[in-house]
Amino acid sequence: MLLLICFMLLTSPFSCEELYSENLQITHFPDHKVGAAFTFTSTSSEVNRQHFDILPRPLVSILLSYQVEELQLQLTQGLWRDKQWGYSHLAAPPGGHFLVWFGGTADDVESRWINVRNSISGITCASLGALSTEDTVSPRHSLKPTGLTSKQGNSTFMRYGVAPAEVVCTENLTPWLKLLPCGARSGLASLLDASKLYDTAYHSLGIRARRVACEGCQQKSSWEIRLTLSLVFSPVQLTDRRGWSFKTMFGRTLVNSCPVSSSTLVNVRFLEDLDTVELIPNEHEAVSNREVLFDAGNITQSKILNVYCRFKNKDTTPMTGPITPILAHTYISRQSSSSSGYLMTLFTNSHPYPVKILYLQIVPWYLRTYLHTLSLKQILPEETGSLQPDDMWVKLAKDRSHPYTIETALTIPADSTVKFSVQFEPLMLRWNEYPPDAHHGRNVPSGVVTFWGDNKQLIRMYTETPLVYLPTPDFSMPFNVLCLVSTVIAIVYGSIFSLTTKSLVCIKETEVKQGLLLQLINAIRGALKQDPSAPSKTLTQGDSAVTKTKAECEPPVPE
Amino acid sequence: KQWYQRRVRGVIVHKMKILMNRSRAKKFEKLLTSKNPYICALLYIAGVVGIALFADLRVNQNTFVSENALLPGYVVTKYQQHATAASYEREFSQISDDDSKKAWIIQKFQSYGLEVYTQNFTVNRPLRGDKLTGDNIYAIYRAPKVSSTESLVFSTSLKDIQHAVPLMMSLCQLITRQTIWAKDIIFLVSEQEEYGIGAWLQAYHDVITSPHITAAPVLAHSGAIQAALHLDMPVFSFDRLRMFVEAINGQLPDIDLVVLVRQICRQEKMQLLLHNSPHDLGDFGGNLLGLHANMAWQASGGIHFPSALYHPYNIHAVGIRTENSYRNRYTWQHMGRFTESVLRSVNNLEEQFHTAYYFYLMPCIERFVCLSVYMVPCGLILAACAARVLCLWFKCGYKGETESNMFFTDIEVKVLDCAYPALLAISLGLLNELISKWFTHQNIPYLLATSQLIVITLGVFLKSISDWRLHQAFILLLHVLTLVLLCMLNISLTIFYALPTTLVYMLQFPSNKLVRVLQRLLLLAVNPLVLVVLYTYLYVYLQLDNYQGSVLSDLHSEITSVVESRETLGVWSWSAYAYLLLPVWGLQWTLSFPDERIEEKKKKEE
Repeated sequence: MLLLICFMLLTSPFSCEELYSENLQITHFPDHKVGAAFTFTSTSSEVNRQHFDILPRPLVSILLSYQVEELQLQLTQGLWRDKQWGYSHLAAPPGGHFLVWFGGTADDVESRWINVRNSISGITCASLGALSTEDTVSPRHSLKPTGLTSKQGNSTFMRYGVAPAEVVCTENLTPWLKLLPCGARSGLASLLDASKLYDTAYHSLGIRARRVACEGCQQKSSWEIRLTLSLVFSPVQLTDRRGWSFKTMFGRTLVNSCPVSSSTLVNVRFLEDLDTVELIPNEHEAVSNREVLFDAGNITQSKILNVYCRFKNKDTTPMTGPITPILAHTYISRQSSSSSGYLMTLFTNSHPYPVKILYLQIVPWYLRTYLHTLSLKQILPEETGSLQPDDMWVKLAKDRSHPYTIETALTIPADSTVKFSVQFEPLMLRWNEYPPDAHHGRNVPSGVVTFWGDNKQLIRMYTETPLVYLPTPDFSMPFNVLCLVSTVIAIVYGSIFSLTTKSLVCIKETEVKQGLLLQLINAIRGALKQDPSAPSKTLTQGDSAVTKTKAECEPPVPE
Repeated sequence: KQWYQRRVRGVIVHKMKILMNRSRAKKFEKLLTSKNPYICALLYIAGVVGIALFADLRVNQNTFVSENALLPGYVVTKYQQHATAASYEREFSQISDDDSKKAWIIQKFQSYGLEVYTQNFTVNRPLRGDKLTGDNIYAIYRAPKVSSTESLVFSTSLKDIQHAVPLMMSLCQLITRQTIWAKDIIFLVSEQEEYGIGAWLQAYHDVITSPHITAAPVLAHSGAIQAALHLDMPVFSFDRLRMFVEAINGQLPDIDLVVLVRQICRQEKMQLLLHNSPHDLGDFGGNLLGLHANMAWQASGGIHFPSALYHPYNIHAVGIRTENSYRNRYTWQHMGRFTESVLRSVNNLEEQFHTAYYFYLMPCIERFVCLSVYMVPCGLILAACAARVLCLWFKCGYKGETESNMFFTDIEVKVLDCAYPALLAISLGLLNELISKWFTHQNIPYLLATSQLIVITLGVFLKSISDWRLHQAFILLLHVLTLVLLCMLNISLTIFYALPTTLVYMLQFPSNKLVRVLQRLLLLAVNPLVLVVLYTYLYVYLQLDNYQGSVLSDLHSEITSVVESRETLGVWSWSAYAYLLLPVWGLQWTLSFPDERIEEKKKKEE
């Protein structure tokens, strides 16, 4: 311990420009689910350095060598349900979501993107390397950088890759934890027990790196790297009760804090007033009537932190919480897997005033989209004629190259639901383009809805990733055809080949050079029979070999 | 006048020249024409015997599960909520009116934290002239680890006595406490039986299938529906389960789903029977009866259970109904475990149902006959008809042997001779179609019957045709083609229709007056409508022992519902009847054969 303190004292003067903080935000939702958002933030005022104390070196070296100015990676399992849980700045679409803003020159962005993809998949064990140009887009307006970039949001310098069917697992969590200065040994990250984390209703692992303005630094900007983990627990499902504790949710308690962390805070936000909640331990600071703050910076073995919370209201029926004013919901309208279908998105605005939104939809090339069928219609409270989008940017797909990018700016009238629909026709792929589980169908990447919230902050929502069944061939068919064809060829080829290449030529038996043994046998046979009237035997000879077929050159002498 | 006649003759008479190389086919031709009755009879009898053999254990095969992911019966069931179900049952049965029942259902779903939605719908029944209204209540359980891309449906119908609702609620209690689910589960309680399910599916998939159903839009979706289970529990303590597999238009679910349910029943030691078959595995006679019953259900193409409505949307579904006799061996616990087990097995699916058979016939729950087997006898019957066609064709242009191998056969086709019966036949079908479309009245069956009678009587007074062979060959060919088309869609209907009609059509030939009357009578008996009436009588006498009420009134309502269900639910039985079967029959009916003696005289003259 003493050694550690000495070490810390020694190193502290050199790492003064690097800061690290931990935060756990616990939120209660009306359906009695509990959201836990971990944010591990590290900042460094020095941008182009080769040595870092806190910032994860493998990550920063990737950022530096490929001139990445902003990076956002989210690996998500489950769907963030805006309707029940409200908006979250950590919300992400199901599966993999990978967004990179580049600096440098425009001509090598594509090659740097490939390299970044491969390197990042290396340090997160995600299959982002499998992302191809088919899954990559550069939308113009929807995904603006959040930090400082040199290119002022020029979309040619950005790449957005989506993998809606990407599966997230412990193999992603372990390397992610290694990027933290204290790993999973101490601090808030020590709460993360994989067996509990993957039993949640929502799970999103994130790496977000960006450049932020730095005051009083030598350079204008500094690195901010945030490792985020967003979870939604369901205490009612786990324990049949509304209450929870660190022990029941994470399976662990906080026994030590990370020594390099400048602040370690646990923030708990309730839906009801604090006097109806029993909260242990008592050493907490009430921020407001419904929010408390625990300082977890000075945890030791003797003073562990296990936040425990019990409600006086034991009813597990979902409460009527605040209404999420703007909602988006995507689904497929299709009757059978052989017909064409419609990609539908419903936008609901419960504000008493119209709201402008920006909607980005990526459609894979194998769902041939008929843009002339694109329509916007108000369906609730009553059905009216079609609406006009404010603006629209469309990039058409190219087969086996890139997907459709449809960006629509639209205004949703007050208190209404608007339906966006476009017809598509699934294509028959080449037989080797089907994944091993071809009958599972393919997911359409989720739509991104961006708009300004009430207090002028940018809100981003991600819609569902609906499953589309592609027409699938009978996969045993090529095999059957191959078998049949090769059998036919084998049979036909052999006979035709011998017919065309061999010719029947008559040779007298005597002309054939016989082996010694044969001569001997013939001699003996001749001696035994001694019959001169026997017809002379002939042998047929091919071009290359003597065949054993006996053909007679002259008609046999009638006896 | 002569010029005119020649001109008309030029238009209406086509000389068909057919290039034939008879030298090679001569042997075959000779055999076919000389031994034709025997060949036809042999093929036909072989077909009938083949169909009967479906009931034999050596022909049909044991059912098995093809999809490895299903793992039927491997899950450890956790259902212990029988007490909850029983208490819910007491609560629910005390509620008398529908609105309170719905409120109770909504409140229960909400208490488990599910998203609950209500969808109202109206169905106009054009023929009966009434309006059905109702509400569909559906709750979506969002599976925790997935992003709502796939789902299962567990549905039931709200009726006066429906114990499936308490069971569903107790299952909700179990499911919402589990984190094992990989697919969302949609709990659907619908009113008005199949109409409610139809309206909900139409709105869920956001398609308009029928202008007569107006349904409120479904605003909350889960993902693609992988499978559906419809439960009907008129009794909660029961002896056996009945499974309903036949869907609309004779479609069938993937046999894996059927076998899955059977396996789970076997594991729970419950008796499972196929809708109205009396036993699960019988002897030859029993299987034959079972096969007949199942094929009758499939052939009708109608909706016998609400689960039938899922199939047009590419959803594999089965329906289950509980049934008791006197022992009441099973109750909530068994049913809960059974339902949980089925849902969890289907939950294991990684892809859509795709590995097993969609086309099969089931003599009993344990055995099935697959497509490649049942097509053989069906093909034999059609081959008998085709042999007759060939024989007639060879004979009609035959003018003695010629020296040259290649020669032209002249066949004169008088267009007017063909046009009149063809018009009559098509009008027969069309008339039925138009009547059913325009006169939406409940007395429509009588109207249809009258129209039929008029056309039938008109047909009797037609002149006989001398080149009857060509006409008959054409009619039989049309008959074969119709059945080939039909057997791809509904094999049971094809077999039921093909067996009598093919025989009767083949028996039409020039004859004396007495035989002619007999032929006409037979022909009348195989009129598609009359055939349906006859089958209904047969079915009632064979299957329902203690049937009460008049068959005619039943038939009346049956025909009304068949015509109507095309408009509302998309059953194509009526279209097949009006566009395919009736015109062919009409052609056959309007074709008059010359007298036997005239034929013989002609032959002698030649």
